[in-house]
Amino acid sequence: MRLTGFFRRRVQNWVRRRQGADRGPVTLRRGRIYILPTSLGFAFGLMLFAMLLGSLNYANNLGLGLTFLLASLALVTMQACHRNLETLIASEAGTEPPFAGQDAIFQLALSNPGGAARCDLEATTAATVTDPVSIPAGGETTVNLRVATRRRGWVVLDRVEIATRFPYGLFRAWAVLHPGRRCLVYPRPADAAPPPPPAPGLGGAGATRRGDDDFAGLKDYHPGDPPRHIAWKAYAKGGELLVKEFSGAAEPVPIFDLEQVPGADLESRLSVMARWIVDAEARGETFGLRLPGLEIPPQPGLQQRRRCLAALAEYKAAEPIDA
Amino acid sequence: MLEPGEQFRRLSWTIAGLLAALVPHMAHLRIWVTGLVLAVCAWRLLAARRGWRLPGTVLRLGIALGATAGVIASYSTIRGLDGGTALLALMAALKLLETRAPRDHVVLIFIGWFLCLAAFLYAQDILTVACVVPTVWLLAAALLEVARRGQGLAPAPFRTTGAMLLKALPLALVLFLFFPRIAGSFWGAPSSERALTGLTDEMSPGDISDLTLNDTVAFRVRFKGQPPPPPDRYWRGPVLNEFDGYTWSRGDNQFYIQPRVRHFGLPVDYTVTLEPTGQRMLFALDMVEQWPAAMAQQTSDYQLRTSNPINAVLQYDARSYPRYQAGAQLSPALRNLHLQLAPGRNPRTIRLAQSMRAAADSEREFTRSVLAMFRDQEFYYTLTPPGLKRDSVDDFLFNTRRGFCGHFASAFTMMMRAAGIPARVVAGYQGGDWNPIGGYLILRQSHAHAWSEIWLPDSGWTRIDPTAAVAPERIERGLEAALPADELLQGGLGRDSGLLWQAGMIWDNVNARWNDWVVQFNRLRQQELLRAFGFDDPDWQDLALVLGVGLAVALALLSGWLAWEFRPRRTDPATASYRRFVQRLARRGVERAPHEAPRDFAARVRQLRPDLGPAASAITELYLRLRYMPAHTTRDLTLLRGLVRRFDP
Repeated sequence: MRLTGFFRRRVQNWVRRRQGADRGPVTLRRGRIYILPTSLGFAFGLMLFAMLLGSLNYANNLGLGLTFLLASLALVTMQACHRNLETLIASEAGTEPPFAGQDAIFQLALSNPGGAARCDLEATTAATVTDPVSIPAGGETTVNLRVATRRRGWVVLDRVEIATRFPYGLFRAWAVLHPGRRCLVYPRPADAAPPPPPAPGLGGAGATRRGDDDFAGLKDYHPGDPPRHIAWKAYAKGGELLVKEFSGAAEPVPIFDLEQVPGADLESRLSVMARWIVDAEARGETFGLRLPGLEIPPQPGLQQRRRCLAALAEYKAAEPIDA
Repeated sequence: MLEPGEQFRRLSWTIAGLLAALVPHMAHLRIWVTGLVLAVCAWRLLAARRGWRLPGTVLRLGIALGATAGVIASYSTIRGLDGGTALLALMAALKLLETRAPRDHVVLIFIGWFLCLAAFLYAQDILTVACVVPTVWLLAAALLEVARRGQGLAPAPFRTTGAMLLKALPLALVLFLFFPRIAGSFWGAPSSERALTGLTDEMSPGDISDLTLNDTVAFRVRFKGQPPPPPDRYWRGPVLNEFDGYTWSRGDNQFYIQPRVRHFGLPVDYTVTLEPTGQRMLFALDMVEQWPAAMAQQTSDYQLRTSNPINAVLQYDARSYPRYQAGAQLSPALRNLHLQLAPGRNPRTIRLAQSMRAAADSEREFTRSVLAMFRDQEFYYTLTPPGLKRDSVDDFLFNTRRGFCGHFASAFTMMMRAAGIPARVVAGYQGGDWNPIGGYLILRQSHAHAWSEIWLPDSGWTRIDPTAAVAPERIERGLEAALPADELLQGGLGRDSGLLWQAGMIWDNVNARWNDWVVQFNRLRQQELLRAFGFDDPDWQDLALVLGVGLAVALALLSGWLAWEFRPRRTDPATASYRRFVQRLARRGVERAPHEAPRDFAARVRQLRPDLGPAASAITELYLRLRYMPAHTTRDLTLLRGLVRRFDP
């Protein structure tokens, strides 16, 4: 196993040097499609050899004809298998950052500009294989490459194979992409976290922010505003997205500070902070974040959540790992 | 693990392929083998449908041992073609009992293809091919179904596979024509004796008249030059030396020295294409002088014997001289052999022969008087002779007096022996149907014949055909002329009639060509073909060259064909318009992501460029209607084109 692993790595490095990194949509041309018989293909070859020997031995021309027909069929399926990949266009289609322990999903868009359907395509990484998909002539589809994560930080998808065994499974054709795509993995929110320390008083690091109590007026929507403040009635009437503003008693706003999280293990403290952020956002609260050397001023909303979790994920993160 | 419905579907494909592969074998498989395979197939399908548990290892092992023992008991070996095929069929059935994963299906499909190959070892005629080709197709379609992984787009198995086989044909043809054929074999050919209709090394009363009802082709002969006239068309087969009073048989005569033969006159050169006989003999025109020495040896009584049974179509060249003198000297041992009579059997015939010999001056005169007896007394030539008692010749001569060629030959030969003249029965074929379309002679089983050879001091072995005395038309013009009309109708022999006859001859010609160019396509034919390509003295290097070039050309053609199939199609006008719209937006920095659905993209456009929102929505909705709604009009397309033309971000 170690030997085959060694050779596989050598071959992968060679392919990498040969093709270089890929940026943007990649058309699978002849030069980057590889093809080899599968174990079924080898068994088929063995069967053909036995049939050939038998037919030659008995000088049976029809037996030879049958053998040659099946051999030619195998050659045709080799070409068809290769063709099943050729001229496909693969392009990036977004990623969704997961929490550590969840799967990172790299989306891959495949489009078929050719005039024939492509069947049973699968995308594989070192660890995962997608379910086979088929694309009708002129169609396109998106596959989700799921990559299991164990810790926070960056996951890099450096090598994807798009492969097919269509039509008979005698051959496997594959193309290698080196998209060099990264996906951030947030720290896993702690299951049991102490409540966040009470926000300091008015003079503290916290700031006075709008309260939730009294409606004050409408303002233009900006990404990051809490969705529950969107004035849907106004949107229905005018088509403009507006956000309700409230004024109320000034209320202390929490700023989650790593220093204030008890414990010695950095990872579990980050987990606790992730829990606070997730919960605060779910409640629609405004919150900020303070890490050594970094401060994110308080804001409500998903974008704030994303920004804060990303900061946690990248804080003293280990080297990026390959998916 | 596959879900039950999918499992059942795959099983149906595989089992269908397997059963189709068994069809050509039904005729020679023992009934219990066929029954067992069918039962297992049915049980396995039911088990898949009902979710029954498959039998465990012990039970399967038991069945495997039982099946093997059954094959050995029925066929006495598992090595021959019959036993091997039966074992293959049973192993397929056994495999079915443990078929779960795709890999098991693949094994079954491979067995199916082996059964197809075995069918060709039995017969290589056009009908077998017509039976096997759809089976190969079905098995390949089954493999496609088994190998299929995606749930979505399902290619039609038959159409896809058919298209692939069609593309494979040119490649297969090149391989067939130019793949080097070897002479000889790696291991021994199967030596199982097979029950085929035709002449055997034994002749009992009634054997040959049974054959006469059989229109099957025994062999075809193509002459270089003129064919010999009908009275010279005696095709020597088994020579029968031993008589037990009822049955004539070949006996053991390999230790005798062959008496010399002298040939006169003009030779006849010809090529025989022999259908499988299951026997160890070649047929040749009397008296054969040249034949392929590697194929057969001549015995002391001038038969051509092969070392293995002929189980496949065989072609050979031979030269014969219709005028000859065989065996001027006869050794005492051979003389004794040919005077042998079954002690105590047919006593009346012996007495008759001895009294007739005493009345005659010479051996020749005695012979003439016996023939005259057949001709002048009340003997009848008939296709449906009555059965004979144990002393068959006595019964025939003094009681029934109705017989076919075998009866007359048997009686005549016995009378000769009783009178002290060395004599034997020769079985073979006589005459033949001339096929004017193909220009060759067809010898059918119905041309089977038996005659006599007697040894006379001045002329050696001399052919005497007692049938010619009773029914000379049989020799001159064939069986139809010799038999009464009502018997011909009963026997279904009235085949000399207009259109039907012509159609039969055309079909036979197709079969003859098939034998010549497909079944018998050997090294010599291959060299002829290469000469046609301009190679003067083709050797294996030329063959390799032609094979390589042919394969390259065929592969290039295939590649082009596939490229044409996969070529990008002209996009439909709606898509083209929509693409222009996307491009115009891209120029203004609003790019559509490849994965973005048109409506999502339109929403983004509305958000980013509220001024373009209404136009973008309208274009998107029109495009979607044109692409996905069945009820769109040409007005929609004009509208879409106009909107895109005026769309100027």
